[in-house]
Parts: sequence; C-alpha cells; structure tokens
Amino acid sequence: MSSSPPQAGKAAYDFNGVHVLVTGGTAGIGLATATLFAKSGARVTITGTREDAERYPEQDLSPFEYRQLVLTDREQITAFCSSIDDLDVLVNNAGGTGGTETPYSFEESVQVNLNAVWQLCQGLLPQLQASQLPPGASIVNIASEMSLFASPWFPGYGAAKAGVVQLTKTLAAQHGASGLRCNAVLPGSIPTKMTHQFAEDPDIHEAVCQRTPQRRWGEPAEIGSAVLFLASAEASFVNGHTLVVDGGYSITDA
Amino acid sequence: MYDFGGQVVLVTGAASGIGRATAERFHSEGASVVLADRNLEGVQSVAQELGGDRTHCLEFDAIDRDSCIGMVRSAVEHFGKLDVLCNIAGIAGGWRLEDMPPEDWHRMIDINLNSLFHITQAAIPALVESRGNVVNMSSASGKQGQPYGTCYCASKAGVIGFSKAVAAEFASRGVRSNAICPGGVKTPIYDNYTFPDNAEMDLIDRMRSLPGFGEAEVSDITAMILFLASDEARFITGVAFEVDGGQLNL
Ligand SMILES: NC(=O)c1ccc[n+]([C@@H]2O[C@H](COP(=O)([O-])OP(=O)(O)OC[C@H]3O[C@@H](n4cnc5c(N)ncnc54)[C@H](OP(=O)(O)O)[C@@H]3O)[C@@H](O)[C@H]2O)c1
Ligand SMILES: NC(=O)c1ccc[n+]([C@@H]2O[C@H](COP(=O)([O-])OP(=O)(O)OC[C@H]3O[C@@H](n4cnc5c(N)ncnc54)[C@H](O)[C@@H]3O)[C@@H](O)[C@H]2O)c1
Repeated sequence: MSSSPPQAGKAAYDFNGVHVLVTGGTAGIGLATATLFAKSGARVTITGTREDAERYPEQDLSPFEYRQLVLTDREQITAFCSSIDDLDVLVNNAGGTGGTETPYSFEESVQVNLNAVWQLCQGLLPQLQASQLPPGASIVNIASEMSLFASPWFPGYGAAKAGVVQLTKTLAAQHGASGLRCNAVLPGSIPTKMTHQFAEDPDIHEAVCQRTPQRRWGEPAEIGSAVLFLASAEASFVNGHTLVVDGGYSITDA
Repeated sequence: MYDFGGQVVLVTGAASGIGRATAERFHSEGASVVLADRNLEGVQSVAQELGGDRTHCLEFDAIDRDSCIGMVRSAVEHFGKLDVLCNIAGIAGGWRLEDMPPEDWHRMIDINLNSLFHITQAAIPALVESRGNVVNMSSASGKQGQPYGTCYCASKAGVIGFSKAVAAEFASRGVRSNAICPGGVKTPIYDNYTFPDNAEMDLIDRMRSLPGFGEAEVSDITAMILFLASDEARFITGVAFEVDGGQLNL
C-alpha cells in the first residue's frame, strides 16, 4: 500500500491523509523533506520568513501550503500555533546560524534554534495529541553536528542544538505514554543556503570530505529520508532517539 | 514497501526471534536470503514457510571460527554475491560477577562478539565488491549497565565498538556498518533469560519498570534493520540505533 512503486533499495511510504508541518520548508533540508513527504501522499504545510510563497521565485513551492513564520517573533509563533487546525507530524527544521554578514547573537540563536522549537512543540501539542494517525503522531527535530562538537564560530547555535537533543529526549519521556513520539535527526555537512559559504570554499569543502569517512558532503534528501522513516509506522517504537546521518563524521566522538 | 529485488542478504540467528523475522521481512521485500543458524532444522522450516524460492539454509556454530568462515564462504558462493550482512545470532543470560564461571564468560563473548570478527572478516571482500552494508545486533545493554549482565553488557558494548570501527575503516570503500540497540523484545532469548539465585530483584524490577521495556515487537526491530540496510540510509554509518520506546532516556 504505497503511493508510488519502490525503487531499488528505497522505501515507498504511504503518508496519504497525513498532515505534516515542516518549518523552514523553503530551502535546503526542509524543502527536500517537504518534497519527499508530498511525494508520499502527505498534505504538507511549510513555513518561511517571507510574507508569501510568491516571494520565493527561486523555488517551486506549489505542492505545499505556505505560511509565514519568523522564529524570533514569539507572538507570531503563538498565533501560528492556534491557527493550525490539525497536525500529525511536526518537523522542527527552521533554524540556522543567521546570515554570513550578520550571524545571530547568542540570545537570538538560542531563541531561533531552541526556544522556538519548545514553543512550537508546546503550542501544537493539542493538535498532535488529537491526531488519529495509527502509529501515533510524532515530532522530528533537526539537531546538528554542533549538538556534539564545540562550535567556536557560533557558540549560541551549538548550545541551542545541544539543547534540542536533550529537549527531544524530554518530550519523548513526557509524551511517550500518550503515543506521541519525539525523535531528532542529526545531519552532517549538507550544502544548503546556510552552509554555502563553506561548501563553496574549496579548502573547507575538502576538509569536510577528508574528515568524513564516506569522503563527501551529504544531500538534503538524505536527511529527509531519515525524517520520513522516523515519522512512519516503521519507527513506531523509536522514541527519544537522535539519528545521526553524517557519513560517519562523528564515529570517533559520538 | 522496499524493493530489495536482486540483493542477497545473509542473516545469522535466522531460526528464531529477531533473526527469523528479519529473514522473513527481507524475503517479503524481494531479497534472496541466506538463513544461517546453529539450528539447521529451524532455518529449514523458516525457508519452507517462505516457499523455498530465494532462500538458502546453512548450519554453523558462532562459537567456532572455522564454522563462521565456512558459513560465509558457502553463503557468498551460493548466490554469487553478498549485499547485506545481518549479524543477529546471540545468547543472553545473567550471572553474579563473583560466581560467573570463566567458561560461560568466554562462551558468551565468543558467540556474541568474537563471531562478528570471524564472520565480518570473511564477508568483507564480498561487501566491498557490492558496496554493501552490515547491520549488527547490539542491545540497550550495550549502552547501559544491567545488574548480573557484566558479560552480556560487555559483549553488546563490544558489538557497538566493532560496528563503528568497521564503519570508519570501510566507509571510503563504500561499505556501511551500523548497530541496533533494542530494549526488551519478547522472543525466546527474553523469555528464557535467567537471573542468578538470590538476585536483588528490586534492581531488576527497576530496569523492567522503565517505560517501554519488553514492549517492542520483533517487527519494530526488523523495520529498523531494513531501513539501515536500504538506500534510504546511504549517508548513515557508524550509528548505534536505539529501538526501545525511550527507555534509555530515563
Ligand atoms: N546544512 C547543514 O549542513 C546543516 C547541518 C546540521 C543542521 N542543519 C540544520 O538544518 C536545518 C535546515 O537548515 P538548512 O541547511 O536546510 O538551511 P537553509 O537552506 O538556509 O534553510 C533554512 C530554513 O529555515 C528558515 N529559517 C531560517 N531562519 C529562520 C528564522 N529566524 N525564522 C523562521 N525561519 C527561519 C529559512 O526560511 P527562509 O528561506 O525564509 O530564510 C529556510 O526555510 C536548520 O535547523 C539547520 O540548523 C543544517
Ligand atoms: N530479545 C531481546 O530482548 C533482545 C534485546 C536486545 C538484543 N537482542 C539480541 O538480538 C539477537 C537475537 O535475539 P532473539 O531475541 O531473536 O533470540 P532467539 O533466542 O530467539 O534467537 C537467537 C538465534 O541465534 C541462534 N544462535 C544462538 N547461538 C548460536 C551459535 N552459537 N551459533 C549459531 N547460531 C546461534 C539461535 O539458534 C537462535 O536461532 C541476539 O543477539 C540478542 O542478544 C535481543
């Protein structure tokens, strides 16, 4: 029972009738994840910082419902949560280090990458708990390699992303009994808008490849694959886990 | 849900419990499956239930290096290649540290840990050739301490270390290696688990009262194995995946 035939070694999930919210679904990992969900039959809502979807001429966002959500704006998050009628899967993907020229301050980084995640989980809890999804609703948070390693360039980002792993475990413990699962995916280096200045610098690009046992950067869809698995009935007993998807980058440390 | 058509999967411990369910699921998703176990009749009856097509049964004893190596050689020879190796055969049991006979210690380490060395060493050329992958069965016990589990915990922690080291050593040659850490799953190994006489049951009860303990279905574990073995997980290597409903978090 799947919406498209499986390809060699690939899974064909059936997310028909499932409402998925991917925050930060306008680019990179979020867009790749939203696309995989939509292709598997889900109804997908994405968010971005711009006023409407037309302001992303660089992307085709037509398969999704678009909503503006700026994670530095707590009131907007509150209003956003109460405007969502029903929800089965929440993917907390929006986040980052801020622009190259103007990286987030420590406080801003913690707000965007951790406080906002907590606020969204809390605010959308009633909808998730009301979900009729057979294996139970679930939350998937996007952590980071900086959840594990020192983050000298972005101290707030590292602290917040470490917090996301801990928050994931706590939510798993709090809500496991009600059937709501909460897991995290911890991506390695993926070329996106957020990392383009590193990915395009030949020295940094090569240094990441050298340190990664698989000798390459990952692809946004490789993170999306892990998110879909965790949200699917296949992972109905996986709760509180942080799934590292990094080509082996962290083997020596985690 | 997957298409493992054309792929060859070797499952050890395929006569019972998790190994059996793993072999069945891979088979139902199109793979050719080698079922290896100490219990030949057991794997033969599984293969019979699967209809005999795309299956091959092998008897081996994980305690014995030559038996492990011979088993892998026959497995690779039979279908001509190997894409996925699932090291699942294992034993469990509890002893007081003070009373544990060295023979029992060595026996469990031989079966649960040393066999992975023999089997993986023998299988690695075929896996490099197919750019395949390994899924090793560890346990929540590989990550946490359990009363009376000095040997079981050590063997399963060893599985995680072995698995990560194989990942680090072979990633550049295209082979992935991951471990799975189930909490309790109601299979014969779980039902027959013996605690020593006069065990401090409150220590055990504490463990058993953790949310999710013993509630996993074998299908929860096999789902994880198939995911890690599939192309969905092509950027995942060296992980120790917990499937325990959240038990390790408390
Ligand atoms: N790329 C990597 O190597 C990597 C590694 C580990 C973790 N991650 C994490 O993966 C997630 C996605 O990152 P990505 O690499 O895909 O980056 P990306 O391509 O820059 O996408 C980031 C997304 O988040 C949204 N966003 C950023 N700041 C926001 C804010 N303050 N409020 C609301 N939305 C905001 C963006 O919206 P707009 O398009 O409107 O700006 C965009 O949709 C992030 O949580 C990041 O920390 C990435
Ligand atoms: N059931 C659980 O709660 C649980 C939890 C964590 C990990 N595990 C691990 O999962 C694996 C499978 O366990 P299970 O629950 O399916 O148990 P099981 O007892 O049902 O199956 C084990 C299989 O391994 C085979 N085997 C044992 N010793 C062997 C040997 N020397 N040579 C060849 N084959 C041998 C047995 O014949 C049997 O078919 C084990 O490694 C176990 O440690 C189980």
